Amino acid sequence: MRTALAETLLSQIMGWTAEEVQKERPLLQALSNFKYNEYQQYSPGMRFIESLVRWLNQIDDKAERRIAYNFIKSNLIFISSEQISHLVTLAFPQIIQPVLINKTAEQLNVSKYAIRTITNSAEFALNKRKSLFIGLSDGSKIDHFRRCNNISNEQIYLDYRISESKIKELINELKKDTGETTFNSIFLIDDFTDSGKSYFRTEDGDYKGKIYKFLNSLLQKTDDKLSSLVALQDCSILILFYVATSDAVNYIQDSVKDWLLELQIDIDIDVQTIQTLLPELKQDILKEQEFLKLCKKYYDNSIEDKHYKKGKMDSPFLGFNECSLPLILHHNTPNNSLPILWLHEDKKFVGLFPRVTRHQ
Amino acid sequence: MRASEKIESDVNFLRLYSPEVLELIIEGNQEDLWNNVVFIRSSPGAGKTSLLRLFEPNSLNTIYNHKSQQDYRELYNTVCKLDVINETGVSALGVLIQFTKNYEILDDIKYSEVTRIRLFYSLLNARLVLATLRSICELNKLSYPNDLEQINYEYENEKLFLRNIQSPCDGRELFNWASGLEKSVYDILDSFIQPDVDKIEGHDELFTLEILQPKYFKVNGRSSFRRIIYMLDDAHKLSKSQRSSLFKYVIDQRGNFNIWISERLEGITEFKSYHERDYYEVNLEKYWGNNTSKFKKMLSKIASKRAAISTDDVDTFAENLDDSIDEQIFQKEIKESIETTRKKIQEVVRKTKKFQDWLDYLIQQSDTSLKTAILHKSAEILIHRNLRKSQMVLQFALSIPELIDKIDPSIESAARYFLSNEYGIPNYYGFQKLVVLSSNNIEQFLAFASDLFEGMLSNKIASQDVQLSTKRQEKIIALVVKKKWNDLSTILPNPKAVEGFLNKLGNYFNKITYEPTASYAPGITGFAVHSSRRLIEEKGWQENEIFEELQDTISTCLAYNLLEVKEVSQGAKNQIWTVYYLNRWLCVKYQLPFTYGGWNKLTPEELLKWTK
Repeated sequence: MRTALAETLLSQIMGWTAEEVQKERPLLQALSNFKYNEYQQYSPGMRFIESLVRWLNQIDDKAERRIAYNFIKSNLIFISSEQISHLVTLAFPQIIQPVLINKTAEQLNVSKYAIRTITNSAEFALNKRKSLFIGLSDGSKIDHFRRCNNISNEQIYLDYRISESKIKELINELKKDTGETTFNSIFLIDDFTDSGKSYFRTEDGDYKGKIYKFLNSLLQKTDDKLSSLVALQDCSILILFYVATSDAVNYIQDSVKDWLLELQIDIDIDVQTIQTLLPELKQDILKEQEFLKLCKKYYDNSIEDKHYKKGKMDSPFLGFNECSLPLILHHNTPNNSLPILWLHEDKKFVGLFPRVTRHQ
Repeated sequence: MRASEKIESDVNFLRLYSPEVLELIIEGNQEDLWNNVVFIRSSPGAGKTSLLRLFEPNSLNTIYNHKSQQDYRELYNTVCKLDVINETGVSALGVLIQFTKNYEILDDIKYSEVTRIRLFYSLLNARLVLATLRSICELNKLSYPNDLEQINYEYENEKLFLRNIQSPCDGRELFNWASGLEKSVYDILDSFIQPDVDKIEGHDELFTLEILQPKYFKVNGRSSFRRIIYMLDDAHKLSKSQRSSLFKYVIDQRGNFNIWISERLEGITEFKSYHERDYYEVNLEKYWGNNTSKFKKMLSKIASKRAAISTDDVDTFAENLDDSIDEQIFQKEIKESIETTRKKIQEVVRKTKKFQDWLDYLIQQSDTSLKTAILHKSAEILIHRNLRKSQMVLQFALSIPELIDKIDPSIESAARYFLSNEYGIPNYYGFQKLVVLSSNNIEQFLAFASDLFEGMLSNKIASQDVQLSTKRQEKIIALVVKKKWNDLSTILPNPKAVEGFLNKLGNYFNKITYEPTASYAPGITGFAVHSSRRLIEEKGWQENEIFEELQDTISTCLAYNLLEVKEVSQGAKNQIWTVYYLNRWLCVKYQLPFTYGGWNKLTPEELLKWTK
């Protein structure tokens, strides 16, 4: 659809006067060009303005459309590829390097503020090389992370399930470089979490989730090869998200802590984030009563598969686990966001940023 | 529809460029233009940089290569008159140096004044050499710096200007020498400690202007241009000492080279007359101010060219600006104004029969057209004027011919502004007003025109008539004015003082303009500084430190194009007054007319209070 045609349709759907068109059009064009057009799940030929026309056209009357439009204009948070790249470049200097500095300071018995002494030391270089960086999903952009921080290819891996041959290779390369055979820091990295539940949760009394699976193999030695990667007595683990809600960070931290207590394992595991989404974000959305009525009205319960049902389900129109997020990531919309924003292409009501689900 | 400096492609820049500004140069004496120093002066956005960009090799090559195309024909013919292009090709080499703040930084380092100027000339000589080599490559379609060996430099170094390079030489050797010199000056700027300045090749003069002449350059054995135009852009970014040293040097040495220097007018004293100086001055705003029809023609072309390349199906501009009031739409306001004004006149007639005939005449005008409303308002203004001086005048009834005779265009114009002010009947609309609103500044025109064009597009998208109504135009213009005003707080060095000063000035003008007698009809938009200190001979306000804040404020207003300067002769002795008029966009803010001519004398003491 030509953008000019889409704009004409938009003005008709919204019932805008020429003055309103003049006010809104530059804003929409700027939002589209700066960010929204880069949404990777738009079908070929579809761009933000076209999607907005389709989305608003599904809403019954002009008053409701204005509520929906104003919500998008005032509340939507779109994290672009460029912003994620920026967070990736910040990960090492802002989060990882301080961890390595603290560790080295203790080993050298110097103040952790003697930055130059520490970072110029052989011990710091060794600790950096003895760090293993594991991407928990494609979103971790672990390749980009490696390139911008001068990290060896032999200390990164994009999967928490590491094959036997890869483990062997990682250890061999570490031995070649340092003469040692175990890593002393593990960094588990991912781009985003809202609830933390896909990383660590219990279902019918059983623990589940990516982080659980990795830690269980490593710490309970259910996978001998994996546990051979580290010497537990001097190992620390950091779980790092580029973007996460404070609720999710607290949830994962508490869950892991309880689990470790249960197992009586003493190991330093921390959870950190570069960009924290504060609880106020959700509270603000819950104040948007008019828009929430629309969320409820146009909700499609056919999205409720077994994965969706693992979260809270009292108000499923608020998204997975009722997270009520107004958040879009450039490559896909998380299911914790309000479904009215991401309902799939095959649903009766299609979202403004249709989501592609991992679980087909 | 925005600034040409931001248009990246030469083709687009030239397609959108309107050659009227070149006529300014063509109309002058060609002898003044060549082998001389030419200053191109204006406030920001008047088109200095675009004018210089036109003479860069890529632009001239593009014009020459597209000379048969309709879009370029006019531009080609115009530049041919300047003898920078002829039938065989481009004959002038434009060399552009953009002054940036890094020249001024040289003045901050802790060396003597003499050393700092030597470093400045070293850097400028190096950059002129590099820019010349780059331009030669561009003109001859060579790759810079890869193809520099194809350039031969045949200067014999008779005056021994070149100390660390053997000349004649090729372009590569000249490039290496200049790059090395440039780098050595950078090293000083980047150094934390005070480096040994004696190791650097310091220059006492800008000798490159003499040694970089067309006769010394051959490309693959042949000459490729007849003259070089050195264009130094944004000279106001130099420090005071650099600027005065450079200007003195080029003016003293004038005659052997063409040097064009563009700069923004910043100081109050710079607006004094230049005619006795030894250089040629092109003042863009002054030129447009004296050639309003040409300015209008140029703006019309600029708008049309830009609208024509729009992909949004609105390809004309001026035609889509409604230029007359739709009386049907404003019927209610017009009717109300007539009734109210008539009532007020009836009140006066109850007290004095002097205006009875006028009232009867007004009542006879039975229709409710805008013309009638203007007539009523004009009569009301005249009655107020008459009443003000009526104490000494006999109470004879005034006749209808007297009324008709007294209503001149300025009273009518004032009446229109009164109607606009009191009843919201638009006054700022139409292409002609937009031209005046631009205050002879192209960037300012584009700021308003682009939003008006956006309004036309919005009309089209909203399935309405593309043409913008007068009311809508006025509304859009008011929004742009509001934005420009809000932007002042971020762009001005001392926004509070300037905003406060302009506010007091604007409100004062508004108060006088809308006095019931409309004494300065159609209104007042300017002031001249009138010193009342007579007893002791003191320095003028421009030099007197007591008025430093006022000097700073007015200088800032001039540099940022918030005040326009005109020299006006007035009084029996034809005294010349420097009148500072509000830029026309500020007239919109204070609902003032666009006409020049209405100004008031204010004392520096009074004006100083307004800066507090």
